[in-house]
Amino acid sequence: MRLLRSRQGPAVAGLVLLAAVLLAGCGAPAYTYVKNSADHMYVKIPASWHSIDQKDLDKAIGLDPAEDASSRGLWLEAYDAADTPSPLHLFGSSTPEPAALVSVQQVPANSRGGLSLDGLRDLFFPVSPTARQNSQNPQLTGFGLVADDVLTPGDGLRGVHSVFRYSLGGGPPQMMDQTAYLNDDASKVYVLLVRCSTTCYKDRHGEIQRVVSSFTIREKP
Amino acid sequence: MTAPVARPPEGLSAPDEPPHAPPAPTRPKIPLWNRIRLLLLLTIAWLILVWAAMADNPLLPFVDSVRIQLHDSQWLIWLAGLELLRQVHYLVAERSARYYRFWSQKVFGAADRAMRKRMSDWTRFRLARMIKVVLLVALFAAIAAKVLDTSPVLALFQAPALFYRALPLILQISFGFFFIAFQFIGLFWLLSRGGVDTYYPDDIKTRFTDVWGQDHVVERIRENIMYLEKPDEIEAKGGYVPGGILLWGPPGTGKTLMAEAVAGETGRPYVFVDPGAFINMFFGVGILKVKSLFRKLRKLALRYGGVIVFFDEADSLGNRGMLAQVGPGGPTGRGMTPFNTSCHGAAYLAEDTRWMLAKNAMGDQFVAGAGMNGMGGGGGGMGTLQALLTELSGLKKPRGLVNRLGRRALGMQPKPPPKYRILVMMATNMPEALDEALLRPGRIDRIYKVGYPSKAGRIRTYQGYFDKVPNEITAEQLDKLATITPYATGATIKDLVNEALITAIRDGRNTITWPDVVKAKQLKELGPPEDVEYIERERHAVAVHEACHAIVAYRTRQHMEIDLATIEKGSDYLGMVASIPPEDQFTRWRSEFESDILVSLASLAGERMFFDGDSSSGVSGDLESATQVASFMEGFWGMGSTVSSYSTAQRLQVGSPGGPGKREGEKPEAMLRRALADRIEDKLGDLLARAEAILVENRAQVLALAHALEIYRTLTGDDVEAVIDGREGDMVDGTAYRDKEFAARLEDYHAAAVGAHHGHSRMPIALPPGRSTVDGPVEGTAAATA
Repeated sequence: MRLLRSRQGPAVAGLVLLAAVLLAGCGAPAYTYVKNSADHMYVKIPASWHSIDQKDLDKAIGLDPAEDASSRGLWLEAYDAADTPSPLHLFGSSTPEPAALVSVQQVPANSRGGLSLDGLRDLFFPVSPTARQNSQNPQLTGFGLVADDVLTPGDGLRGVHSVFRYSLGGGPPQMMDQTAYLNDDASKVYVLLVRCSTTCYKDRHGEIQRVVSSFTIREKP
Repeated sequence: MTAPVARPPEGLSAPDEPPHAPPAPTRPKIPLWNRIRLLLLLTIAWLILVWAAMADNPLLPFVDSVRIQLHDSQWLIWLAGLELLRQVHYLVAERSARYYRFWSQKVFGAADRAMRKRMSDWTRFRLARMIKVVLLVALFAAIAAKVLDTSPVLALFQAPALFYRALPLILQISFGFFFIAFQFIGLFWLLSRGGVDTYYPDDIKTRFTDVWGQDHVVERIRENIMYLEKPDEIEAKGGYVPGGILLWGPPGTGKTLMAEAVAGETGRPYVFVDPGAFINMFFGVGILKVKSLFRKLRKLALRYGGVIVFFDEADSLGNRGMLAQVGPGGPTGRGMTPFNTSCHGAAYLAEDTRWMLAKNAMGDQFVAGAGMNGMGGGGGGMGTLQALLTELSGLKKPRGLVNRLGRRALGMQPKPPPKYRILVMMATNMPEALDEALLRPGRIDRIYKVGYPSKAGRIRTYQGYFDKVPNEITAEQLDKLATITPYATGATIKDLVNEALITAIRDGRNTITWPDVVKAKQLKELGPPEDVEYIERERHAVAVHEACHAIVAYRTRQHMEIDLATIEKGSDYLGMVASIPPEDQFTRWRSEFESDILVSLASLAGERMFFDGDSSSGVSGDLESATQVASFMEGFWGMGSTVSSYSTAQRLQVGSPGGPGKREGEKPEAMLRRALADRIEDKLGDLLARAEAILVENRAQVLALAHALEIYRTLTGDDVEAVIDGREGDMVDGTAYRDKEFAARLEDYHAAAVGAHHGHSRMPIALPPGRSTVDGPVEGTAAATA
């Protein structure tokens, strides 16, 4: 064959290599790599989880959709394992399939001293004993603390990982897996919250665990 | 097997040239690199994106990054696909003539023709290059935008900022590298200073009128200067300005003075290069020096419209030995060949013959001439000579950073270099030690021998130097002085005049007189006398010895005049008779050589004759020269009984002839004496007998001259002749010797001296007094120093 002379060997080899790379790329990635490059926050979410529409999310939380993340000092994204992603799965009473919220919040300079580890625990739900005692919310019942670890990954970062159970508004018990970090100068709070019903949490524990353990903050680039 | 079809040269045709014809039936093949380089570029760009994504996210593994970028940076994949398609298209066009014809003529033909009509090949090339550059920048911007997470335009503007941010690191690394390099750069820069002096017009006061006795060379140099100052005169007619002059000749003949005069006369800067400038401790410094020298010359040439550079003692540049590619005909043929002492320069010989002769002669002479610099390596170190050769006549490349890089970056051709008018002058005593490539026309166009000045030149030179000091030298005396100093150069003439002045001042006078000049000349030629007093009988023997030389010389030698005769002991002689040619003569004849031998042998013949067969060892030098000349006559110059050249016969090992063919009635013993040495001996024997015969005939004159020498110790040629002819001379009154009675007294004195010689006793009678033209009667040695 004239096309395959010895001098064209390297070219053919190169083409084969290129084809191999392309084939390897044929499969879709198994995860969605969520990142906030500016704040050096990274987490990987299974590719089967869908992103919750940013506008719906803003509306559900009650944020002004006209403002963007930098002006409001809050960056957040949410993912939902359900076929039709909805912010309700994050904030509603029952979540049959896992939903995750990841956020970075800028802390104003004047309130930087007030954030303790308990403050991190109690970001969304009253978890610390004091908060629970003070809590007057009748919607929250059936608290159970499953795990509570203080995290110090270095570079002045400190945080807490709490897994707890709550029933919201009389619904079935829900597992909350919350990881929150405060950076060295207490200017940023990083949060990953994954929630799911207890059965779901049991069934899909490995999947959720991978998401939670991938949550990474890099204080230094 | 089919014969390979010669394809026309590929690529763009030169400007002003039609495109190469005819067009090839298929697309010309391109190298593999050209096929894949764009694909490679796109692949690398894409991999950079993959890497950038990974660098931005510590969770992202390579495979997922590849997958994501395959999706996110699809445009690169598409571009690569297009490029692949293009290359496949080319590949097919390279193999199928029909396919190629279809695309190149039917599809793109019209556009291509229209383009060619509107733009020249060079314009299209530049346009294509510009488009390529723009596309590359665009690609860079797109990639940078992805990596920096911004827009391509902003990314382009951020690139310098990124570079600026990385600058400290770059500087740090490069400092580490240059730290060592700079030491050498600094060292070499320092070492490559010096050795070059620049003079501007009017710095030097020497003029051509100060160069005496070399009018023919000066005339030529003047011409060169004129062409340098008015190049249009020759260039308008299609010629070119000669760029180099070599002055060569014996030391002291005024080469450097001439160069100085050039500096004084020209209206251009004059750069003097020290002979030691190119001798360096390190290889490479010489090259740097040559380069910086010529950079300077070009600058001066542009600023002042021309420049003259003078290399003194150019032999210090060295040579690289014989050039392999010198063709038949000899290396130069400019009078510096080994034939320069012959009358013909071997020009009538066939080229091959000349080449062979030159090669043989080079074998003998070149090594000696080239000395240490000879074979291998220039004098100034490796490459110095080569650098000089290149600078003298190398590629005329465009100069200047802006011109070369700036214009090229903008797609313009650099401006050609301007005409640098640099006149190179070199002077050397050893032209054979110069590299042949240096002497070729285009580098050194004109080669002039600055030889010993002619008689007229010498008179002019003497005149010039005598004009600077008070003197009473007449025109006739000047003429005579020029005659009796045949090999005088400017330097020796200057020295002689100065010595004469010193002699006059030592004597308490302010002006130079003729005797001062004669004394100075004797001092210069003989050195100071040793002031040794001979005992009387030995003084007489030496006087007789020298008188014999002088008499035979006067009687037989017509081509030389006696310059002086002396019995004052010098450092390496007891006495001497010096002769000089009365006119400039360039050929020598058999009769002259024979009379030379006669003069040499006269001492032996005379001693045997006057001392009853006894003779001294003082004749050794005479016999040496007689034998040498006789050997050359017999074996080299065809002045003996055979024709062939002995030296050539020896070298080629063909044996030497045993004399002429057998003659009728030749005796066997005569045939035996046919070896070269025997023939030389026979010849010398014959000439010795002739010398004796001459002396027998002139016995009275010998004794008269011996007497004059004993009294005056040193006689000028004129006085010697006066004594022999019995007339009045400059200092000696020779008429006294015509007196028969006086001659008898001289015979008695001689007999007494011979008796004392045999008995080693004291002389019984005193030396008869002589008569001076100046002071009247003079006695013995008292007058000798007068």
